[in-house]
Formats: sequence, C-alpha cells, structure tokens
Amino acid sequence: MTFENLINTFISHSSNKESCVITSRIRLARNLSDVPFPGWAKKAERKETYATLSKALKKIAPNKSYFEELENLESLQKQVLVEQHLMSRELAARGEGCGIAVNKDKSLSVMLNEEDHFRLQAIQPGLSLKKAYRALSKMDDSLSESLNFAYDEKLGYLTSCPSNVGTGMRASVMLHLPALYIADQITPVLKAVSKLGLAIRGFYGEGTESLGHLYQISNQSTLGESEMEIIARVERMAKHVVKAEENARKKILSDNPQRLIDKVGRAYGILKHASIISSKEALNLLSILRLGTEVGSFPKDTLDLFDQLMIQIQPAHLQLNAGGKLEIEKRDEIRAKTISSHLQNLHPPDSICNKNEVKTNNTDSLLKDS
Amino acid sequence: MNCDFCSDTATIFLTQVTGEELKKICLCEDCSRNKELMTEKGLIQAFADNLIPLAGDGNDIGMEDVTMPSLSCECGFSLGDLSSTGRLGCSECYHTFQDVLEGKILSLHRGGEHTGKEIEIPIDKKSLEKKIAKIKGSLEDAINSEDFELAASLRDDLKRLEGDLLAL
Ligand SMILES: [Zn+2]
Ligand SMILES: [Zn+2]
Repeated sequence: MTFENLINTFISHSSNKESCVITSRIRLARNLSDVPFPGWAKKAERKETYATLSKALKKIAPNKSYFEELENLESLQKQVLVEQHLMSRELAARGEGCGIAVNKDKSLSVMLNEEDHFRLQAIQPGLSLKKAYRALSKMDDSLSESLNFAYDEKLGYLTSCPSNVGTGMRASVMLHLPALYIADQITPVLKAVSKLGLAIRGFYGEGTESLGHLYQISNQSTLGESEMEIIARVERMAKHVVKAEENARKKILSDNPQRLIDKVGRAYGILKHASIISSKEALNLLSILRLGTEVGSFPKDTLDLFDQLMIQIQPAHLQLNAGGKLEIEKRDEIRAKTISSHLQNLHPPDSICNKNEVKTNNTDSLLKDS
Repeated sequence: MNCDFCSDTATIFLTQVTGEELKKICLCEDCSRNKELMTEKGLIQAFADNLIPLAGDGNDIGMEDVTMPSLSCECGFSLGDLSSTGRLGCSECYHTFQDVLEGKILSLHRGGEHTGKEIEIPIDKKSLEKKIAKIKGSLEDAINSEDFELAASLRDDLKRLEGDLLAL
C-alpha cells in the first residue's frame, strides 16, 4: 500500500452504537530479550535489531500492508502520520533503524524501535476494547513464535520504562464530549476519572487542553491486573462518562434547546463564511456541528464529513495537500477555504429547527416516564 | 496545606525546576501517583531525589543506594542514567537494579506481580549459559561469606541447569 492510500483510508464512525464513543485502542509494548532497548542502543545495534524486527513482522504482515523505515519519510509525511495517531511524536523525531507498519484498513499498526522494540496498536470503531485486544494478542502470539520477548515471571513483559511493565498494555477509549463542555460539567467529570486511577486527557493538542471536545480515557497501571481486568475497568469508566454526556445532551435539549440550536447555527455560520481560521477554532466548531448531526440538525451522513474535515484541516494534512510547507497565516486561509467549500451544499441547521422541537418533546415525555 | 490538583490534604511537597523557574508543588497521596500530573521523567527524578516517599512500608531507599556508582548493568546502563532518562537500558536491567526498582514499580502500578498474559520462556543455549554464569557467581559469594545453606541450594540449581544445557 502506498503512503497516499494509507492516509486517505478513512474509517467511518457513523454506525457506532454510542455515537459519542469514537474509537477503542489497545497498545502492547514488546521487547526482545537479548538486545538493549531502542533508546539505549547504539546506532549500529539499533539497525541490527531493526532488521530482526522487520523480518519477523514482514513474515506475519497481511497483504497490502504499508511498511516503511523512517529515514525514507519526509518530515511532513511523518507529521501527517502523527496527526492520524498512527505514529507518536517520539517516533517521528527518529530516522534510521526505526519504522512503521500499518495494515490495509488501519485497524492494526506497529511502531518499530520507538520507546520499545515493538509498539503494537489495534483500533476499533466504537466501544470494543475486547475485540481490539483479541486482534492484537493474536499478532503478539505470531510474533513470539519467531522472537524471544523479554519476559519475567514476576514482572511480566519487560519494557523500556518501568511504567509499562507487566501487561505492557494501554487500553484507551476516545470520547466526544461536547455537551458536558457546554453544560460546564467537563472539569468535575475529568477529576472524577483521574481520582479513580485512570488517565483522561485531550486527544488533540498538548497536555490537558482538549480540542474538538475529544477526550481519551486510559489505564495508567499495567502491572498487578490482567489485561481483561484493565479493559473492564476502562470500559466501565467510559460507560459512566458516556452516560454523563448523554444526560447532559438530554438536559440541554429539554431545558434550553434554543441555546444548542444557536450554538450549532453559529458554528455553521463561522465555518461556512470565515476566510481565516486556526485549527483550534475549526476543531472546536466542527465538534459542535458533529453534535448538531447527533441531535438531528443535519442529515446523518454529515457525521463522516465532519469527522473527515477534523482530520483534513490539521496543519500537516493541509500542507501535504498543498504540496509543501506553508506559513501559519497561509494555512489558516487554506483551512477556511477547505471547510467552506465542503459546507457549500449543506443546508443551514435552522431549517430543521421544528424537527428539533419534536425531538425535545419526545425527550420530555421520556423523562417524565422514568 | 491543600493539594494543587484536587482539594485533598497535601502530604508531599515537590520542588520542580523548569528552566530558570523554581516551582513548588503540593500533592496529596493520590495525585502523587498520577503520572499524568508529572512527566515520567520528572517523576523518576523525584524518586531519585527522594522527594516522594515510596509506597508500602515506608522503608526508604537512601540516596546512597540510588546513586551507588559501582552498580551498572552488563548493557552499560547505570543508575545515574535511570534518573536522567527515566528509562532502562535493557531487559536485564530489571534484575541488575531490582532493589531500587521494586519500590518505584509498586508506586506506579496497582500491584507488584504480573497476572496477565503469560509467555513460555523458551530455553535457548545463550540464556541458559547466562543463568549458569550468574549462579556460579552467587555460589562463589555464598561460599566466601560462609552461607553454606544458600551455597547448597545454589549448587542444586547449578546441577539442574547444567543438565538442561546438556539435554539441548
Ligand atoms: Zn490531590
Ligand atoms: Zn541493562
């Protein structure tokens, strides 16, 4: 598979059961037992290990997978892979003796010689950590047929950083939480999650800032619990947060639907008519349009459009499409143009205002019943 | 004093140097375990500097142990490298620095023992030879320190492993 095919493969989330759960991810860290970890290895050792790793991986990689050593990628290409969350920033900063592999539908990917020798990742749409884990565990089994993974009876899988030792597993769920944000309830929810020993952070952007109201919940501890126990804990927490988001949506729709319709309408207006827009503003407004679709202000098939735009308008994607590096001002212009051209044929949300009121009444009676 | 991140009572006080700036951080027990609050690097540094008491029986690992210069792994990694990178050199480092790592690992995780997916440890010649060499070393130490009980049990282990090696 070529780089272009890889980055243009889009995973639809329009048939997800809980629409505010975007994806479930599992990551496994694995290392060879008899060579130094990538960060400590000398260049020659790292290259030698890379040969071993890629040979074993190529043997089991499904047809039409994408496979590339990092020194063959331009920095803009690496940034695009970072924006698609197929590559970490840490790996993008490296070159020789490191690599990336992704299967055809992007459900499985591997980073070679990142922090650990292997970082295996599985992604599934919606809330399906178990399915993601099963796929990944199978890949892990096939790899361990030809490789000796570093493993200790007491500590489990040995990893470069002691924070990943044991299962070497990170299970995470990406959630879209615009209503909690609008209702000013996001901070207490985030606090509750981290109090219960799980990490929650913004999916885009650095640190705790979240763009597009996208948040990721994941486990921190990797030792002392089995994979299934960790998955159950993360999944349970994700369900609590989803419930909170759904309640916030119901409440806004029943207490003050006009406020929501106004927000969606403003987002639509700005995105359709702005001629300069930052990625931060664009992501946050597209997130509101996404919410609009979910409450019936736009046709259902616009969900994919908004999701796709959220990926396409990020800096490296814009620049790659434009054919090279661009100044930030120029990017903001192209971003505005890209979005408005995609919204050209979309009817404004206020034209379905009545439908919203019907929906609101339904919610009201639902609330009374319960 | 309250925790800077939640409003619980702070029991841990950290001084963090970021660039030129000196920051004081007050943390409660829970938040001090939350890696997201501090970078992995910062956390391990804090452990190395003995700013965070280790979880469990309050048994401190003294600074002397942490910075003991003689201890380094066969991969060339030393404890100084751990406090500067927050990561280890190779999988053998887990055994080399076992005493120092034990407390850290307990503080980072919900438990100290792996209960997840298991792997059949394949017995290859190289790792068997390594194991034998290691036991021979410990055996010598045991004899020198006149711990004959330990020496006897090590001798048994040695016999068993040498048998395994012949059978390969
Ligand atoms: Zn606290
Ligand atoms: Zn080592």
